[in-house]
Amino acid sequence: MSRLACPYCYNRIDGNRLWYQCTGRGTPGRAGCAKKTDDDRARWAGFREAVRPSFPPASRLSFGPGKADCPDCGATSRIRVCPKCHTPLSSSFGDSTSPLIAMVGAKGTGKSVYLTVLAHELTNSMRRRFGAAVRMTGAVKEPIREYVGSVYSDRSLMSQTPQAVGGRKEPTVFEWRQQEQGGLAARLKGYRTTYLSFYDTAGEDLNSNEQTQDLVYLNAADALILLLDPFMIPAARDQIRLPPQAIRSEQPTMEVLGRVTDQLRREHDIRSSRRIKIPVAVAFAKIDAFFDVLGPEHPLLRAPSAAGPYDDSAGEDTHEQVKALLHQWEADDVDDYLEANYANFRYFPVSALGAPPDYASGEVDRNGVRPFRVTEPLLWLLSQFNVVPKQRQR
Amino acid sequence: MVFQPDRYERDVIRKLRGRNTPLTDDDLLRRYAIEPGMTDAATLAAHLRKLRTYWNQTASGPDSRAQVCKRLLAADAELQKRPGVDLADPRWWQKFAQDRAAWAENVVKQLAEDLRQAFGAVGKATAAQVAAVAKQYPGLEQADLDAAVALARVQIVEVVKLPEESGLDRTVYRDLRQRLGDVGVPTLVQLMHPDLSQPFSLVSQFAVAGERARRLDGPTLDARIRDADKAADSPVLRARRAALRILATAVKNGADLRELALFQIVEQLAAGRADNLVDALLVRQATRLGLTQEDAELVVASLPSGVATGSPVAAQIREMLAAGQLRAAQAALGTLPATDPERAQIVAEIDKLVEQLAGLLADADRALGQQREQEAERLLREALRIAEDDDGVRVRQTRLPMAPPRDLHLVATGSSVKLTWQAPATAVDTVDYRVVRRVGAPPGSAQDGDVIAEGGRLSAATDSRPPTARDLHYAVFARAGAGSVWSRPVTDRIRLTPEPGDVTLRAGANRITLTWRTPADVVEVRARRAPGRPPRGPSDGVAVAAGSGTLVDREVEEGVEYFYALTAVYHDEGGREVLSRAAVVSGATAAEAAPVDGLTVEAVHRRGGHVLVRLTWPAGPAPVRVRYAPDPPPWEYGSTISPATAGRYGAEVPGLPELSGGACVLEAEIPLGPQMYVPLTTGPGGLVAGRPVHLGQTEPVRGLRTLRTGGEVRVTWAWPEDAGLVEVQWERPGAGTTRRRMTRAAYTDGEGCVLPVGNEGGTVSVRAVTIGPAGESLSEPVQEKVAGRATRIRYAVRTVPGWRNRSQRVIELVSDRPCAGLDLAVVVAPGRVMPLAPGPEVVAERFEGLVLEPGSPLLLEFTVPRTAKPYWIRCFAAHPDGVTLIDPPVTELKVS
Repeated sequence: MSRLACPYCYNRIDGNRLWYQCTGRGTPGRAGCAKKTDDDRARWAGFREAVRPSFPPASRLSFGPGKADCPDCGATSRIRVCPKCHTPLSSSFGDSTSPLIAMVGAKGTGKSVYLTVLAHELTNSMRRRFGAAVRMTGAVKEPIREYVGSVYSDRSLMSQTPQAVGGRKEPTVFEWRQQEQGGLAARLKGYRTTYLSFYDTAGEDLNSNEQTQDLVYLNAADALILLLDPFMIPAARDQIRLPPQAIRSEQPTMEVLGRVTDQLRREHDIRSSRRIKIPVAVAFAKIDAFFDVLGPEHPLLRAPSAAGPYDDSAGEDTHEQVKALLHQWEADDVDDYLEANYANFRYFPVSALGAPPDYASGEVDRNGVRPFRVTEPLLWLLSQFNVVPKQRQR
Repeated sequence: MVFQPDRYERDVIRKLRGRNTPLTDDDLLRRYAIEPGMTDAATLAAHLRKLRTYWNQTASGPDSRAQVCKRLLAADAELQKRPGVDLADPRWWQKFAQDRAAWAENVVKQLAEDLRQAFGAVGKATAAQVAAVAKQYPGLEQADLDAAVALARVQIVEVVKLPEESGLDRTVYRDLRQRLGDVGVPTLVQLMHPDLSQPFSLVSQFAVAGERARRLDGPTLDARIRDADKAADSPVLRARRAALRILATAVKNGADLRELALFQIVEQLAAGRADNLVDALLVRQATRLGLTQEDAELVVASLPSGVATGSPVAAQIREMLAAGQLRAAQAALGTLPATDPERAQIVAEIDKLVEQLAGLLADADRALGQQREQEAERLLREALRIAEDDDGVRVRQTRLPMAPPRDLHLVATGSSVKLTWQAPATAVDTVDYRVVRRVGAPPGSAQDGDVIAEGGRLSAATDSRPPTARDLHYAVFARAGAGSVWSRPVTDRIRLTPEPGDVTLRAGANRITLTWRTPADVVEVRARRAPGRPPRGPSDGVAVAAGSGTLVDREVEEGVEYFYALTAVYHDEGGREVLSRAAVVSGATAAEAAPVDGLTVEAVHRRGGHVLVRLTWPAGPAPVRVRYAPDPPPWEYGSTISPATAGRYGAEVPGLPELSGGACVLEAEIPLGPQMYVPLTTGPGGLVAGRPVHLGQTEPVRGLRTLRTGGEVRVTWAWPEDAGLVEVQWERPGAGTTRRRMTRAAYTDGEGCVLPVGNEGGTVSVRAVTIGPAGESLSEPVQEKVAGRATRIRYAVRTVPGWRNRSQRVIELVSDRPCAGLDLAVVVAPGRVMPLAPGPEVVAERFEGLVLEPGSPLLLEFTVPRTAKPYWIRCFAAHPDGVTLIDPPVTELKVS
């Protein structure tokens, strides 16, 4: 049995027992099914428009038949949908890994800006780098596109993300389609499709333990991008001059870490003596504020090559550099905590905007958005799931 | 203390005369004429005796005093019988006087309250009004009344006599009232002073506080009439004029405008009183009509209390007469009883009106006979006001021709005649006109000639095809509407001889060509030429042969300005020549213009959204102007175009060129962006297009910044609004200059602008590029210097083969450029965390004064001190500055 997580509702589903959605064409003597609001789809995916009804396959075989007849109108359908949220899935869904990547961080860390810039990089530089076809799918395409337009064209930052109601809102889903990597045998397999599903939390959702428990997506996450605000590290903050509006986070870094860790342990049923095994990319945001402090020759400012497979060696070097920086900033408790609770984590310095925005007016620097190393956390995670290739240089 | 019958009669008897109410004790002291000094019993007895004697004597008399005295005697007898009454005792009278004074005090208060309720709102009352109220309290003395009035705070005013008649004829007054209503003013005061904003007094004289110059007299009225005559016509103005003329006539007949105005106010207040309005509201009504508060109170206090009533039939007849229904009133007279007290007066009124009507009709006939139609119209209008139900009068009015239109003007415009005129002096609102033309003589009637225009509300007409060289007589007739009689005409005459039109002169190198349009009916066109000035008459200058609509004069010298007079010749009805005015044009021969082939355009500097450009071209004999536009011109080099065609291409470079060293120089501000400049030489045949030149200026990028990270620099900038492309120039000492172009999309969606940085750094300059139909345009460059990167020394940490050498390590240094005096610290630090600085406690080895050549590895061996794993081996450069050590992979540095 192929157990996968639906990229839209984050429920674990059997990839061989997907449901079908009626086409509404009907059969001779039977009118096609009409569109109406699907309560399950509204409840699980937040989609409230009228759609044709979904139905389970009649066959009890352990593999999907590829098509099924609607029990009401008899029309044959090949539209496969999630059995829980009834959102249509591609015909190749389940053929390959589709990691659900949760993005967490306290309020004001810059998750939405980071996700917006990451979405832009996914559909531009990353797509070109790996020769992939990337497109946005799912219900929240327009907001993200609006965010991208707002940040890149209007140079305007978005307002605070609304809190999740009932722990459920629509994730941002990308369809990543590329030719199989490797030799001739691999290429003969053709193309594979991977779904990358990101869930942007409102920062407030992590500000109390109760709300953290409501975040269902965290329970189903295959990987985590943990965005931390270096401005919340006192020794780091003291090195730079910041306007009062720049201090937007409210939670100490250790508190955020503790809540996320507790949630993961509880939902993934991990004993306290064991470490959490899902890969966690710990990204320190807004690193552009430290460019002058670090100096132009600092290793962290030397971005690795943006071509070819993911450079795992360079990633390790960066990890150690950031770790050393954390200790220098007297934030070794963060490192110790991560070391003690996570088996597979890596540090990244990122800057979504590349230059400090005008915090008072909410405007991006007038020279535009210049992302700095924003794709590396995602690349590392994707390399962990073999979605993108990796290499060790030198 | 002597009894005085006369005084008693005045103070007591007269007041009791005609009063039927019983005699009370309230006025006992007055009835018995008891005065305060009568304290002696004998004196009192004598006084009473004399009084009773008077009563008895008078009671037997024939007049009305007898009745009073009889009642006084009867009351005296009854009083003497009343227990406790002793009229002969002075003490009784003293006590009675005291009791009465106490009683009077209460009664005065009651009276004061009554007066306050009756007149308190106005605050004024006449003595008669107070006396009428005081009748309810008969025992009060005058002093008591005065006290009550003072207590009520009511002012006793003298009654003014208010006008009871307007002083005008009833129909005239009715007409005046109607006209004032049309104008929208309540009285003639507002008619004569339309700008009045202050209240006015009218009772004693017309006055406005603070505006002494205002008058209500004949000169003021005349001035208003003059103003109205000058103002633009409108229905309201016509009503104003009519009202002012009624007043002028009234003044001429001796009417007092102040009295008339006061009557208008009294009339409206009387109507209010008839509607049972309380005095306070009447006062407010009077102030709204414009009166001052004081006058308003006075007028209201003086208003007659009631409305006169009479016979209903008589009132009806009077109403008919007032409404101009004379014939109906005559018919209704039969229903008025012969015994009606008003009959005689009404009959007299009707007779007077009949006589007046006959006089008016006779005067109207006389005025019409003397061609005073306006006066006849006025008289008939007055007659209609008296008897508008008289069919004979109506027919007369319908058949009355109105006054003729005024001030006819004829203007010849080319081959047409334009007519303008003023409306006739008439009170008729809608006037129809007919314009008639007759050749040779004025039209005798509205049907005599060709009708040029006809319609209502006209004040102008155009005769577009009149015959030429003929005496044209135009007449304009007016009438009130269909069915009315046409007025006498207003006439004028004109003779039309249009000169040749649309004359154009084209000067060539050795000839001058004229073309023109020949008007209709022209026999021939004669042309004469004079050098330097226009020909002074039909025989001045030199005759030039003219063809049909064109003339080519080859007998001209170059550089001389010639004037040509073109005269059209017509024949009148007798075949005689009639000449038009001369149409004069001038021109001089000129050399053919050459196209400009040396225009240069350079940008001097940019200012906001404009750029100052300097245009230079070789000076020539013909004037040159330059036009610019983003697109190339549609003409070939050297082609001749008309000024109108050139005007459709872009805009002209403003300003006048200056001559400088054989070249024309012109500086002007031009909008940013690529522009094509085209020189146009003015020649006799039009404008000759020169060779176009392109120059572009684009808004530069802003906020150029560089961020060097290691061996590369990221360049960022803010894009100009309309630029989608930049040209980036990267100039590095010793490495040449590279130039590349980058689109806005590549900047935003791609890697951005990242340049490699060498040891020496360099200068990056960015220019915005815009591309238009005329080509590319580059902005001024914006530059930024970039510091060179540090000397980079890579190092590797190698183990030394052999078990014995397990604590030995070799450090291999490779520099990318020469480096001398390098001091190197090798750190061996225990722990999980990479060391970031060479602390003295962790430095395992120091190498000083090292010299490195580019590409030549330098090997340094050292011994690792005994250290617990995990530990780190890392190198740091302590000297010189500007050296960066590049770490090997972590796997080489970390030992675990």
